[in-house]
This record gives sequence, structure tokens and C-alpha cells, in this order.
Amino acid sequence: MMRPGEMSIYRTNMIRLVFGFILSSLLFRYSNHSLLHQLLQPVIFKNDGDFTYWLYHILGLGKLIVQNSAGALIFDCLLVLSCLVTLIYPLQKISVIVFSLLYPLYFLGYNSFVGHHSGPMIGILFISFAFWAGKENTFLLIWQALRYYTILVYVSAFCWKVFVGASVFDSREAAAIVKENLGLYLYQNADTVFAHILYWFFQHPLILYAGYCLAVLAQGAMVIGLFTKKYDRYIGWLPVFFHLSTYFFVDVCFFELLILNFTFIGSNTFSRFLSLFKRKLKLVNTPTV
Amino acid sequence: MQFHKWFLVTVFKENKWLFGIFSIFILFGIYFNYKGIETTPFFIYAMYAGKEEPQSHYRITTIIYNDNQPVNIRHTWQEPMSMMLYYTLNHYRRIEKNNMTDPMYGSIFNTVLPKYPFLYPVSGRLINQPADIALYFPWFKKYLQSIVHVPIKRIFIFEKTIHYQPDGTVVADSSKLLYSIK
Repeated sequence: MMRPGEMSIYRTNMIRLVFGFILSSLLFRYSNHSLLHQLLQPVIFKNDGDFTYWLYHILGLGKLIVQNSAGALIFDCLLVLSCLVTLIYPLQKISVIVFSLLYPLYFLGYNSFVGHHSGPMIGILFISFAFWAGKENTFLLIWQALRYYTILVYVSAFCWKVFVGASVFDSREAAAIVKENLGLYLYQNADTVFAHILYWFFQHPLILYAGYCLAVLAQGAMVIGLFTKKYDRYIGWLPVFFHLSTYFFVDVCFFELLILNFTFIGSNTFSRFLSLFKRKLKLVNTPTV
Repeated sequence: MQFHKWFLVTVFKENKWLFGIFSIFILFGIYFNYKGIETTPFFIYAMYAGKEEPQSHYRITTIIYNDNQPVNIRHTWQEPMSMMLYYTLNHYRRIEKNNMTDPMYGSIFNTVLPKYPFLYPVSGRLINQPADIALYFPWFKKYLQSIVHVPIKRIFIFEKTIHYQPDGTVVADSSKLLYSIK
């Protein structure tokens, strides 16, 4: 249980951490030509059965902020600005609310025009809403809910693989997934060090399968977090391990989803981390005789 | 079981509004997972849940610009822009296979609209219009140009069939020109 003062410091530090991460995500998207103005007014979109996409297009938001160059540029500027203002002035809420309202529009715009339910951004979509809370207790409840949501994302992925699709019980699964996803890379980059590492794995498919099982187990092990917070400092690393393995072997970049891992950082961990800096600062400031 | 310690019970005791929001979210999450319909923000985390067997051959799409420059997006962190090229291209191919009509056309006009006629006035916004589809390749060229930072005169898009050799290396078996864009 945190004392009132501690809670306020925790929340301020967390908002800085979260929006620092979001800024890095926006820079990542900028470097990937994926902010809305950088999409250069795409012409086709994919709605499928996603009713939220339907609403997005019915309201004409796609035309307004994706397919209109001025609209897209103004939107991107506002998105980045709201993130920057929150980072600089973490104690006010206006920029947080503006960001929380704008980001879903970016999320829907990019996903709908790329034609895919791109999962990594879902963490950013939800996490900023926690800072809308006026009372510290409400913030804490939303923060805990986000922690449970994070756990359930991975546990549900584990259940799908183990109980529904049962794909994890087929020893050929791992090699099949890697070959499907990295065919283009290997065709175009046959002589890189990474390509040679992959060749070795293809010749030892059981090792690849063992790694796959380990990654799936890491997802399943998150279930511990539903019953206790004692191991949060350890289970927070499991998604990092999982997404690193999918980064290299499945060619998917999910680093943005790791923003939800901040919900595993307790106030004690924060205080210990900050005290390290304080100690270092003291050492630097101590005059030498 | 100590129900009073459950998270949702605590939320119910402390903030009824929040409890309502969380409950609705959970119910929608369960519903869309059960129905298997991915609806933002209720995602289904079932990536690679289905059994995948190694294939004897795989299909890849390669893009060549200005006669001999291949588009080679080597790094996984470049995924957002890679998706913008390859996923939209796949979608365009689906539209093309459907006689240049949005694949959603049938389900919107035959299933959705008879049930929900109030959507008729906005139905045009739910599918890609032929005039927009016709502009896909000019957009593709413009976007690719912004990535490679050189003026592009011509783009060739190929579909190649590849197979993996026992040592893990990849060999192309055949190549088919899908599109030539000026």
C-alpha cells in the first residue's frame, strides 16, 4: 500500500515514463514513413468485419485525416505536440486527454489503410486513459486493470496455441512459421550472418521447436501474475523475451506493446531505481580533498 | 475462495462507474473472442494458433524499381512501412481477383444493408470505390519513392515460387510478373 505522497510521485514518474515511451514510438513510426501525413494519402482501405473501422469511415475520418494531406499533417502535429506537452508538464491533464482522443484515430487510420489488425499499438491506445483519473485511487484501479489486461493478452495467446489450435504440439510448427515469414528475407539476403544462423536452425528443427515451446511457455507463465504481485519484477521480463524471439524468428516487431510492462513496476522498484541515481549524484557532488 | 479480495469486487466497492466500464469491456472481449470477429479494440491474440505445416513451396512477392533495384526491407523494425507496401498490395490483388470490386461489396449489399437499411446512405463509405482503386498504383509509386528517396520511373512486381533446400538455403523455382507500373 502506498502513502498519499508516494502515490503522487509514482504517478508523475509513470506519466513521464509512459509518454517518453510513446514519443519513442512516434519517432519509430516517423522513421518508418508511417505517420498519417507520411502515408501520402493512401487510396484503398480494408474494413473486413471490424465495426469500429466501419464507424471510422462512416464518420468520414479516413477522408479527413488520412486521405487529406493538410488534415494528416495537422493531425500528426497535434498528436506529437500533445505527447511532448504531457512529457514536459506531467501534472496537467488537458494534453493527456487530447492525446488519448487522437491516438485511437491514428490507430484506426493506419490499421484500416494498411489492411491489418496491427496489435503492437494496442498498449499505447489504452495506457494513456489511466492518467485521466482525478483521484489517485481511481488511477491505481485503472493501472491494476491494465496490469491484468497485459497478463490476459499473453495468457489468452497461450491458451489459443495450447487448447484451441493445439499448434504447440506439432514439432514441425516452429520451422513452418519461420520459413513462411522469412522466405523473402532469405531469398534477398542469403549471405548475411543472420541468414546463416537461420540455416543452422533449419538443419536442427528440434532446437527451433524447443525455442518455440519455451516462448509459448513464457506466455503461459504470465498466469502467475493473476494470483500474486510478488513475482512482477520477473514476469515483466517474459514478454520482453517473447517479443525478442518473435522479432528475430517471425519477423514481427511488437516492441510498442511492451509499454504495458510499466504496469508491473511497483513504487518500491521505482524508489530503489531513483535512489541509485541520488546516490550517484551525491558521489559526483562530493568535493575531493 | 476469498471473493472480497478479487480485483473486480474491489473495483465494485470503490468505483461503480469504473466497474461498469470494465464489465462492458470484459463482456465485449469475451463475445468477440467467442465469435472470432476481430473488432478494435477487442483483439484476438490467436497468432499462429492454427497448425502450420512446412510447405514444399512458398510464394513471395518481390518489388523491383528502375529496372534493377530490388526493394529489400531487411530489418524487422521496418515492419510498419513494409506492411504499407506488401499488405496493401495483397489487398489490391484480392480486389483485382474480385473483378476490381471491393471483396466487402457482397457482404455489405447482400447481408448487412437488408438487415440495417439505415446504413444505405453511407454504404458507399464502407467499400473502396472504383475511382479510388484505379489510383492504387500511382499511390504505390509515390509511397515507394518516399521510402527509397530516388525518382522512380518504373516498378516491376513479381511473384516468385521458392523452396527450401535441406541445408536451409532458399532457391527460386519460378517467377511471374504480376504488374509493371510506369
